Amino acid sequence: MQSPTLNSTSTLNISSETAAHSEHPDLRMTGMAFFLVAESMIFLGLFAAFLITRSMVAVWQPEGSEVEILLPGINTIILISSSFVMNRGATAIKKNDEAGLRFWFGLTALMGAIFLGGQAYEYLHTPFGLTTSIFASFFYVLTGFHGLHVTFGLMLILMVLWRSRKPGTTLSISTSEWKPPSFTGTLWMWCGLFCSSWFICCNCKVGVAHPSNLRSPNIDYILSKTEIPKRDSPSFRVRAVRLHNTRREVLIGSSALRTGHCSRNWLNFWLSSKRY
Amino acid sequence: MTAPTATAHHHEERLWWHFFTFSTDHKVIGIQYLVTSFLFYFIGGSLAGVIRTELATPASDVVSPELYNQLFTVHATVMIFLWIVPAGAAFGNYLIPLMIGAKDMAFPVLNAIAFWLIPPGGILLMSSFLVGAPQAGWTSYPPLSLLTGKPGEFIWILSLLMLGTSSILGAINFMVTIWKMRIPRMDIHSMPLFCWAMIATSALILLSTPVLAGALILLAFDLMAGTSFFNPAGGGDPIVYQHMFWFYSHPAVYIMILPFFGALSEILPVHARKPIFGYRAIAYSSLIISFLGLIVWAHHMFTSGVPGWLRMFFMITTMIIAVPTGIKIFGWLGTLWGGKISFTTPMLFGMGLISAFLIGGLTGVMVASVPFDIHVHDTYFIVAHLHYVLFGGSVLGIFAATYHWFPKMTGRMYNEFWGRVHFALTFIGLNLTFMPMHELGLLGMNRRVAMYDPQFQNLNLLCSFGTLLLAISTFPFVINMVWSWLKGPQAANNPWGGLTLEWQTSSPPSIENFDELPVMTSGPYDYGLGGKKADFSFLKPKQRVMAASAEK
Ligand SMILES: [Cu+2]
Repeated sequence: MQSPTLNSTSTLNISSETAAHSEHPDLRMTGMAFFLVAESMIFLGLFAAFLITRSMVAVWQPEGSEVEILLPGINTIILISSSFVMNRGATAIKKNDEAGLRFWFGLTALMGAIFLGGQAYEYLHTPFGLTTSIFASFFYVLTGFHGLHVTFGLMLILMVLWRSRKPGTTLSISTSEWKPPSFTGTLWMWCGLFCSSWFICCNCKVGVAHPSNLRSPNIDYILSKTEIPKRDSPSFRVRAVRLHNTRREVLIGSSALRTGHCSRNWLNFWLSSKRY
Repeated sequence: MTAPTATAHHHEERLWWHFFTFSTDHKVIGIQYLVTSFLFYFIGGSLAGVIRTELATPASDVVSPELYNQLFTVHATVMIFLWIVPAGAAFGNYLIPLMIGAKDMAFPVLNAIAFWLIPPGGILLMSSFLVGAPQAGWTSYPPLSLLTGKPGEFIWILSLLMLGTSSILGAINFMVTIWKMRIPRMDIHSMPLFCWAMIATSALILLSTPVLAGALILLAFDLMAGTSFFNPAGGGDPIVYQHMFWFYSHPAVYIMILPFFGALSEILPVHARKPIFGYRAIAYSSLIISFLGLIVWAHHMFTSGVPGWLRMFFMITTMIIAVPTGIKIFGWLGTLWGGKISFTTPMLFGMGLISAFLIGGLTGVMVASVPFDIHVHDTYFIVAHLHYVLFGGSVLGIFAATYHWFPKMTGRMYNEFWGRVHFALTFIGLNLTFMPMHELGLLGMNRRVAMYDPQFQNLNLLCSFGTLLLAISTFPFVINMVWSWLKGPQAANNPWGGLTLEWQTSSPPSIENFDELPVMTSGPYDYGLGGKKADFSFLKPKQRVMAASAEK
């Protein structure tokens, strides 16, 4: 028996419970949380790409792509500690302390600006360019993408500061459900989190899966074949445009499977995963 | 000046030009989404028509192989990102606030922005034909995609980033709205199943779409800035792209199908006059599908040289997905079992969905098996499988939902006879087009080729003839929809005797949806459990078009 989810009554009429046409509560913080989930997934995807690529190459970092540790390390520490500074600002709002709000948020903004300045300095002084090596490409794209988020967060902090120039701000902020500082703070902490994880990824030499685990057994062989196998079919030109994994497939012998040796090889296939 | 009373809302008529503005009303946005996606369906369908015309003969006689590559690439991109995904968002937008008794979505402006990213994204994609459309398939695997024409490929990336952003913004809205804006008495287990499906869909969008965006950004750097993230020539690994791409694109299948599973769970109980069978099982199976959908992606890469243990893992997880999907199918069959089934157009499409999707689901289990997949990889068997899932599943679902909620959206009733004709043509055309493709694939015909071995011609002709039927089937649909919207008989507020909240307001709903805060007086699927009155009115078609005033 399917049980009704509510005790059913037969009326279908809409009865009015309340006539209050109140607006719904402010849900922007909830929305922000979901947005940050999505943003985190971009970063996680990029990190994963970086880590997998890194596990594939024999020598890391590639020559000429050595990064400094000192300056980025200081920079990371500054950004992470600025989250705690900002937290003091949030406490100041709760205490209705406007000077505190201005001081702590100002300090956070300053630290964020120092971070971005440090990053710009690093960009100008690294010995490699965007296309020097695959490491260099990952370095610029990942740090650049992160820097973009820090810039956005910095702008939000400056907006809070701009609002606080009028007296009575702390009160209006803490009574409204829509709290720009907590919104900003969430983004800011999140930036710090990803900054530090990037720093660890980039400099930590251990803890990455062993290359042979992630590496496809055939890849060297496949990559060494730069030519597409010639065929006498009239549709050669079309085939040439087909996805390169056709090429892989041909190389790993699935064309043999397809022409009818398939069934006999099934057992072998199941037993030895390395064969194909 | 009219006083702001309850009746005043009815006089604030929706005018036709409202649908062309930056409206923040979820009902307008929902219809904007739906009409836009239908337009792209016709564009994508025309591309498919050219493709099937080309494939009617083995030689490359209608279009050049290069143009053929462009056609199938844009066809797939349009059908996925501009037709089925936005159509899911269309029903999400239109129905969620009505079903949970809210006045609008949580973030109406964000909602409008999400919609207005779609037309420019679509026009941008179509404009790529002017400079040479992308040729690398919708999968756009490097290094192929780096070699087949920069401008087209770059346009494709930009367009996808726009459409992906739109999808993410929509998902945030659905999540927050369902989570926070239900009427007080509606707890999570008395919420319509469509809302559950949209939670599962939105979670997938939030978790997977950004990864595709990341891959596309890296691909764009490879294409335009000369980096080599995915280019083996510079030390990159194309397999990483495949991982990132399929991390989105497998869940994309569920992003495309789950909303219509949800819609089906609404449609079947109403037209079978029975409570849904296994409410919680169907609700939770959506979430389980979402979760499993995130850990099966490499089943698309069995021939890409991924290591054996990885293939084994992904084969097993993929096969496990058949369990929650089977739970849904049995839930729907249990709902139909012994019901007072009325073969209205939405019901026909709904039952068509179950049967066609079942075929797609079963071939899905077949291709999940590594040895079989290696045999049929990149053949027409895959084309058959994916079209049974996406056409037999999603598209029939869109039609079912469109007919079912048409009276609510427009306040008019569609023509039942032509609706049934549309269903018959679609269902026959669908099977005629895609069934022979299974055989073609098993015989070894490759997909994505403009020319093929002459031995395959007869089956290909059959497919092309089926496509002709599908093309013809759109005419009764479009004429029925347009004519009924303009001149159809006035629909009753609750023409189907539905119990979910969207049927408890006027057709079409007033600007703020409900003149008074609606109250749940029964569960969403309590058909035949006391509300007998609804049953009888449902059985008489004349009641469906009763003048709205008579219900008051
Ligand atoms: Cu898949």
